[in-house]
Amino acid sequence: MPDPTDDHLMRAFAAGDARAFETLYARHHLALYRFVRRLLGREAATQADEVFQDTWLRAIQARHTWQPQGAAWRTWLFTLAHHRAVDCLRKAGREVSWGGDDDAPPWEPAAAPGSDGPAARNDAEDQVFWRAAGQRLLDCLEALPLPQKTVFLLHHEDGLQVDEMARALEVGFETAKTRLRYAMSKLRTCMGAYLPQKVSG
Amino acid sequence: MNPIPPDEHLLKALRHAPDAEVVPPHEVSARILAAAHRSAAEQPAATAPPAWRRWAAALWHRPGASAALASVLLAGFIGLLWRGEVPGPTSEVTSNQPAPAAAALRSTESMAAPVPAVTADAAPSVLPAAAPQPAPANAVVPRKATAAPPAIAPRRAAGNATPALGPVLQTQPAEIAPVQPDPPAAPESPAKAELRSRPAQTTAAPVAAAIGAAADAAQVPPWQASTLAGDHWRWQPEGELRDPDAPWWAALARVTQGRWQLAADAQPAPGSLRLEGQRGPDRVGRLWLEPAGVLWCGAAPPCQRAPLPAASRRELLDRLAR
Repeated sequence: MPDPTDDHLMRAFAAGDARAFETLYARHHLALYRFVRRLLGREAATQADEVFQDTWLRAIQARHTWQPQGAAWRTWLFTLAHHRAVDCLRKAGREVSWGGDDDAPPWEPAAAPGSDGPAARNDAEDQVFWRAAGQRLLDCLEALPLPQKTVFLLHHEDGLQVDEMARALEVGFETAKTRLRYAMSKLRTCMGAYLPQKVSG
Repeated sequence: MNPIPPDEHLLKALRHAPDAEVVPPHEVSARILAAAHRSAAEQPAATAPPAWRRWAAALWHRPGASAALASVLLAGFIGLLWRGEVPGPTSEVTSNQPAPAAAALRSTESMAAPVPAVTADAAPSVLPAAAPQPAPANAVVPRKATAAPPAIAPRRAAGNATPALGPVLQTQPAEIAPVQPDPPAAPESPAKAELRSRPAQTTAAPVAAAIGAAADAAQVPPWQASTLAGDHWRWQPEGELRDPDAPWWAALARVTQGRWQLAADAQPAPGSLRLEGQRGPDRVGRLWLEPAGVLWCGAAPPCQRAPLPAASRRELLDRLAR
């Protein structure tokens, strides 16, 4: 018997089945927590637990009014988290720039430690390399404007398509696409030698 | 259509990032799950509006019916203005003949007032009175973005959990600040203040007196309603712990105050210590000190459960250690 869908579980929870919510929570809590932490960044990391908790509580409170909306339930949940994170950052006095950051100076590419690029490595070295690459990526994300960070994480972390992101974030399709392009370009530049450099031409 | 495929290397870096394995704190997960259980235990959301509302909505949305209703209402309003007077040459109305307008007004008044279409969004606030349920003292308030979750109820044994939730269920949920709910009908502040300030009694006072007369039903320990002085309480099996006395019951009442909820599952968790109360040949109730909570089952259902922090549990057991 196939696993029940998220929509099915939410409807069951709305009807009073707490275990359905537990299943939803088990499915999504780790990814959501990562998303919230990465979205808030290091400066607001202390509020990640609060934002995470508030997101789930909003989902619980919404059980009376929730209806399938076309977008995936997970997308709806991540959108709740995004809104809450933005509120949190604004309250903390952190400027949430919704414009692009196109005029910012180009990022300095990083050199991978002891490597000229993703050369051949054994498994252990590979693990070390990619862990370092992951740390570098988190550092690069820290410097990304929130709108670009959001679309990048939704796209890569949550697997959202551009049109889904546009709907979830209530922006135009081209806006979401542009933000994602900028984000990926900046991150690739920032990651530097951790990534294979594309031959331009 | 996805015109921008994900970057595989960025994806791989994300998966290997130091925070890829991060998990939320156990107490946070416990609070969330407890809030969900509490929400689910409340009256479930109405899946369909009541028949009278569906009828009213259908009537309102039918163009012909709306126009007819508007006409009648207009006629009635005009009749109200002309009440007692007939326009035209003669302005007097015989007393034994009700004015047509007045009759129209009466018939208008007897009709249901136009009911605006309501959506399921408003359903929870206008549901007809349902079977009374013990309302949580501090229920989660919708749309309160910053409302802190209320006191939590613990989950059952870890064996019932999905693997990802196992560690969560074994931890003791931390106490959290209550939200600001609508106050219950009974006055609570004086009784609660009294309950908190009342010192533990050293005499063999009745259990109910030792616990205090809490006016708020949600704050009252569940055993208060069914126990009397002279009831005998003993641990089963006997041996390691002394029988509880009034101060012990008072301490238990303090640490569980305001946290009692109807127990969805009346089975005690594995590892529980059982306390049985007898009045002569009759059992008045049973209480289990579970690993993470307290379960009370009186002579009649329902059972109730309250969370119990590990430190409080240890203290309660230490009080009775031989």
